[in-house]
Amino acid sequence: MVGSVIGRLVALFFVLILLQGIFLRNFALFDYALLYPYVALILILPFGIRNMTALFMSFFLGLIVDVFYDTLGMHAAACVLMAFARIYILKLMSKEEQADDLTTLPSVSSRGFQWFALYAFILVSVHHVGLFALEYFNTRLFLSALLRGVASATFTVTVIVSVQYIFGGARKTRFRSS
Amino acid sequence: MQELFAFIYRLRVLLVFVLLEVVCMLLIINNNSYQKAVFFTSANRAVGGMMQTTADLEDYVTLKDDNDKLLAENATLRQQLLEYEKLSALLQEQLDTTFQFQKDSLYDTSNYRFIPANVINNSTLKAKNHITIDKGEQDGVKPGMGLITSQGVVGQVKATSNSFATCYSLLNTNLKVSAKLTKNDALCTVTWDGQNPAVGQVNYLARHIDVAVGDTVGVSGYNALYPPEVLIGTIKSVENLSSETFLKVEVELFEDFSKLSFVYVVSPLFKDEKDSLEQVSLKE
Repeated sequence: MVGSVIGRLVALFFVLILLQGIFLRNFALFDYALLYPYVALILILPFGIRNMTALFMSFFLGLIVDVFYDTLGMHAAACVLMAFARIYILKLMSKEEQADDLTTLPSVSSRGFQWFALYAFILVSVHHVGLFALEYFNTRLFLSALLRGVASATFTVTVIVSVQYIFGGARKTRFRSS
Repeated sequence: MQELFAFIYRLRVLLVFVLLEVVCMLLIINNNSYQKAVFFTSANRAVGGMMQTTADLEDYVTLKDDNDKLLAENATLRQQLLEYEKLSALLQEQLDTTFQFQKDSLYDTSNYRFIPANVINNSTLKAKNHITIDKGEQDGVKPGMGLITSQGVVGQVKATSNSFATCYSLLNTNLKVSAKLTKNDALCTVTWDGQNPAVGQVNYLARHIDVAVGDTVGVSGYNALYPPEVLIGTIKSVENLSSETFLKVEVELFEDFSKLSFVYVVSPLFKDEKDSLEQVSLKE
């Protein structure tokens, strides 16, 4: 079971990186909200993954995206921040028995739409706001970074959730181990 | 000890998080020009402020020394004033009796304006030492101006910002000061070889020139950078090697660069006029 989870994550990794790096590079909604669906990879890491592993995986994921965007360090910093926030959000939002669960991935199908939307929105907001704050790199522009981050996060989360419905994952596939 | 390790172990996720973020920040600052510019501008402002504060504090420490120096300078100035008063009375008398033209020097001190400045950063240990002063463009300091104290030549302004200026110290292997022996007006150049901060080198003195230990070296005044009365130091040693074209002369500097705290920037009032005249006439 763990093997198939890893296989899925690796496949998703290649699809998302290519999508992000090649097609979504210059894509913006109303010239304002940007789309970064690659963060879904951090969202759907298994509940029971070790915190350390999650941090390092996010770091390298961010670095790879940075190479495409020519912004070395910015996506990596935002991703590490997001993975760190994920630890505490999951502590608040997940059930006790899931702490060691390596085969269940957080998704609409495993936890329901409401849970996943909230979980994704918080974490994606953290990532996007962090990313824009780093891009502006100016304390006076933090408010604009916050607004743009939240707007982009709404866009990104909508896309991530929609994709789960469109490709059927939300209805059929259940990764429950037991 | 074990508890310490246990504590660190419990915090390991936080520590790794902080470490990764620091790595990211380093990457960002080193690879993104805008972020780099913002970071270094604000860092420079902070460092500049800190340098100013330390210099302000150091000013208090050296207050007594500075005071003594100023008192001594005041005394000499007053003495000179008296002498000049006598001299001018004498001259007036002469003028009254026999009408004659007095020899006029272009390099009268009235041709210069002196801008007082505090030294806020200084070094003597490098081969290319620089001095930072707290006066800049808004005070009339421009690149190329000379820097002196009551003791002697200190350096030359290299670059200016609005309210600060960095200057070549005389203790900079790149700086050459046009100089002359006060005894016989022999022209030479004073440089520094990067070794002893109390000793400079006198170059281009031909072997026939009469130099003795203890002679005074002053600026030449030919380039209007410093008033010609400004001194540099006294001759420390003279070596006459038959294999060399010029004498090997060392000069003991009057200025103690390690205690530099207050300097004057020399603003020559007619330098542009002199330079443009020379440029035009030399072209012909």
